[in-house]
Amino acid sequence: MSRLTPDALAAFRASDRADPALVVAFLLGLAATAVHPAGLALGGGLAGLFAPSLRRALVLGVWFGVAVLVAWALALVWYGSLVAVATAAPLVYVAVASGLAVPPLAALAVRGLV
Amino acid sequence: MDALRSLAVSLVALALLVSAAVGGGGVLSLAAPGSGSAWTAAYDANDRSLGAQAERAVAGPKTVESPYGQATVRYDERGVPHVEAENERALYYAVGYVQARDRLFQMDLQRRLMRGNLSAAFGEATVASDRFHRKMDFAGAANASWEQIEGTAAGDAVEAYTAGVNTYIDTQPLPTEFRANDYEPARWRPTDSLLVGKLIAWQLSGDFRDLRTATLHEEFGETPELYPDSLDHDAAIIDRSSGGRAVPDDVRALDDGRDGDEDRTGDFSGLYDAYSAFEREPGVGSNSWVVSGNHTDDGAPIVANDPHLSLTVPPVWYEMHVETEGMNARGVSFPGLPFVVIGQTEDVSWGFTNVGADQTDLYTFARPTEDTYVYDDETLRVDRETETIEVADAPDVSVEVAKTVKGPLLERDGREVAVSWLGLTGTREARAVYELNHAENLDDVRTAVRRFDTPTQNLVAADRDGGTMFRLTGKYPYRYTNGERVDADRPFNATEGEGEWRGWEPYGQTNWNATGGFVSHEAVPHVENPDVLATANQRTTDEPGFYLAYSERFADPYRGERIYDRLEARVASDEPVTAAFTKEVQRDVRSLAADGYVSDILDARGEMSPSVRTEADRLAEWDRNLTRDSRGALLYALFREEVRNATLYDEFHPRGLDASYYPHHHAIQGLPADSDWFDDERTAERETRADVYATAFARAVERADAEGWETYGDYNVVDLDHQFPVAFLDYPETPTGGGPFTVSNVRVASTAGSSWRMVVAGDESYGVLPGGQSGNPYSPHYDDQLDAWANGRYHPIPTNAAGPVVIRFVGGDEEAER
Repeated sequence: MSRLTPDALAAFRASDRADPALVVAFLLGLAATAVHPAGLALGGGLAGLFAPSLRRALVLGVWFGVAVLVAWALALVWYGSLVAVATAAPLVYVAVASGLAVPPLAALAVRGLV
Repeated sequence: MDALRSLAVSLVALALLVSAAVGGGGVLSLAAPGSGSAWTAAYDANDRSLGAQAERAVAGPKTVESPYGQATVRYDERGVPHVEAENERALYYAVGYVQARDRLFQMDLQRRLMRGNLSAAFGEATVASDRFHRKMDFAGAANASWEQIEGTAAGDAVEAYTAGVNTYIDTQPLPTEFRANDYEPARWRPTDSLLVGKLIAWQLSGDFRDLRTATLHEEFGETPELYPDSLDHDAAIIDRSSGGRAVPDDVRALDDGRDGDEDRTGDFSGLYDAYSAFEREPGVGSNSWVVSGNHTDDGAPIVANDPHLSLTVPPVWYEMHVETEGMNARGVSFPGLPFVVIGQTEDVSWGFTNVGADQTDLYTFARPTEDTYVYDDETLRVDRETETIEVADAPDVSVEVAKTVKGPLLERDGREVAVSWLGLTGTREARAVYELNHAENLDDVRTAVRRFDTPTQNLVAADRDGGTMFRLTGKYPYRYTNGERVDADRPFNATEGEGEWRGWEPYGQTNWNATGGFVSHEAVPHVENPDVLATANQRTTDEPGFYLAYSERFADPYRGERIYDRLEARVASDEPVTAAFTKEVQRDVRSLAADGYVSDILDARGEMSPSVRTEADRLAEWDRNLTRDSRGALLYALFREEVRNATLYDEFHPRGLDASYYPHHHAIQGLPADSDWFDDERTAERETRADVYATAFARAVERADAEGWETYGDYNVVDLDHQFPVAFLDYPETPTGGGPFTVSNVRVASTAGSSWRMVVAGDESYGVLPGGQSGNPYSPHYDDQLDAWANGRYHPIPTNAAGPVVIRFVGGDEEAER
């Protein structure tokens, strides 16, 4: 645990409320990702904030990134343009790479700090 | 220890995040999943998606405020908009909106090109283009044309269209290309639409061939065997047509203006080399034909048209169906133009091919000083203006725009000419096309095309009453030297008063009725009610009655001959001409150009090595069809690409003349076997046609082997790339049949060919685009017609609306009551 971690936060992470908080963090992050690229960092950061450990923050960050990509793919299925977007190289590579890299980095940055 | 490790990990992660934000923030903002600006267009790309259908079911069609009244837009299964409106302005407002929705980047690109503003968006690579287009001041010409249509019904339509485009720009997400290149389009102006018209007109009738001709005469003198006044064939459009009445029937013999023109030669090669990249592309042409009801199964005439323009991503044409009270038209327009250019109304169908007539003359002046020139015994000042070309990521560039009474000045390597291109004045073709969209019979068509000032086009049309017609559109200036009418295939000395046009005013308003100024509308060749008439850019007629152009501006006769052969054979048989037959002719890949070469290649086998001879033997059995699976077609096509170089390189290259100076294939085929042109000046021996053809064929075999091409389909691949260099915007590579000289037309080297195929036969009508309707790369209609086009399939194009209402325009009650 970092010296900067407030006791209240440490207690919260250990409580039963941590898991629901993570769900909310995921949903908030997903909503933010739909409107701005910074949502990737926000969602990852929130996941890291409520993660019980640094390792867990990394895993949650990756899961959040996967969730973003899955949600995006579902939206594209809904709008009938998944195949066209999936073949939009090289931009789609940036999308996938950023989706898988930014949230875990944000989660590690936050969890390592507090 | 754990705390320190956590802090270290945190700092590293933070550093990586900050680096990504600083170094790749732009890319991230472009391509981030979900909210990346490159994906915005993906969420409104498919009108038939689950989401789009659900949204329409719950909330109805997308609603857009219109100042002009109500309209609806349906999109059918190929993404073709069907626009219905309560009045014309509401209609064209909606047309502007949907064209912007589907093609805004392309529209912006076209006006940037013509205004000389490409570099502001794309950097230094386009400065030369911007410089040329500024010097020509096409924008000034568009302003002059706007004066001609402002306040007319066509002008009102353009204004409403403009407002529709701007509503889209103001309220909707920009297309992906703008996002990726990080710039925004300026608001659309009515003159932007006219600039699109100028672009098309210039591409079809603007050229610097007079420089080329003068240079060739300077280097070689008279060479009628290579550059005859007329190619030796009997497939002239009017002369080979049947039925009806050709007008005028008392045509004069062509003035022989080439005699005594030696003083109009000169080495203009530097000037030509500098500006030929901006002239109409050699080979850009088209097919069209009309067959009267006397030869069809239902008694209704048939009109067929496939314009051969550049094959681009997205296509140069935009299909649309527009309907309001008093008008119901369907066909294709150029994005940026509100009107159907080629197509049909409920009563009339029409199509265009390029005439190739000479609408561009070039002039030299005596120049006492840098700022003056002598014309008509007067010393006049050059009208100069310095403009600044903004260049993205580089310093701005200045360009001097200089104008004379004969038009803009272009200079290079100490040579200078003024350019009189007919389209530089206030022309009225937009009004003509607007009226075509309202035509109810051929009389309406005849009235409309009186204002079709440029480009010069072969118009074929038919109406529901069974009438057919053919007419040249455009204005044909008479040229005068010492009061005598002359032809105009080389630059004139304007100081000596040569080549005068009467009534034409660059960047101003021309007096089209000036005495002796232009060929009268009645005297321009036309045919009333032809039974069978086919146009393929070949010579219009042997005796048009005035200087139309010499052979270099017309196409080789192969396509025209082949179409006439097919139609005449059908008419002579018991079988009626049908829509299915017409589509089959449009896809005809039989090469008459090959007929002119193959027997001589076979005769040259004695000069070939054994392995090359074995390959040449294949041509003996070849059916002369350019089909994908043919080895013979491949070898012939590669031979055709080599033969002019093998024949003429030794004479042309030392004089600094490249392949752009080479003559028609038809002229090469007409040379006698022992022509001097076949002799290689660099050798002591005397070569003949057999030697040259053997050399060219050996090169063809060598190239096929080097490239690994087995059959024609390996070579004849249509590879269309988007103007913006991002791979996913390009179309997939598509092998196809046909070639530059077959009816089914494609030029893989210059990516040109059948840019729209259309057949209208009574109640049946069909069309297909080389690509797709939408410029949105995420749309299912981005390239959904490409395979159909490459494989000769069509879709019906009736004048009935189809598909769900996707956009509803509301409001404008006051306007509707007017």
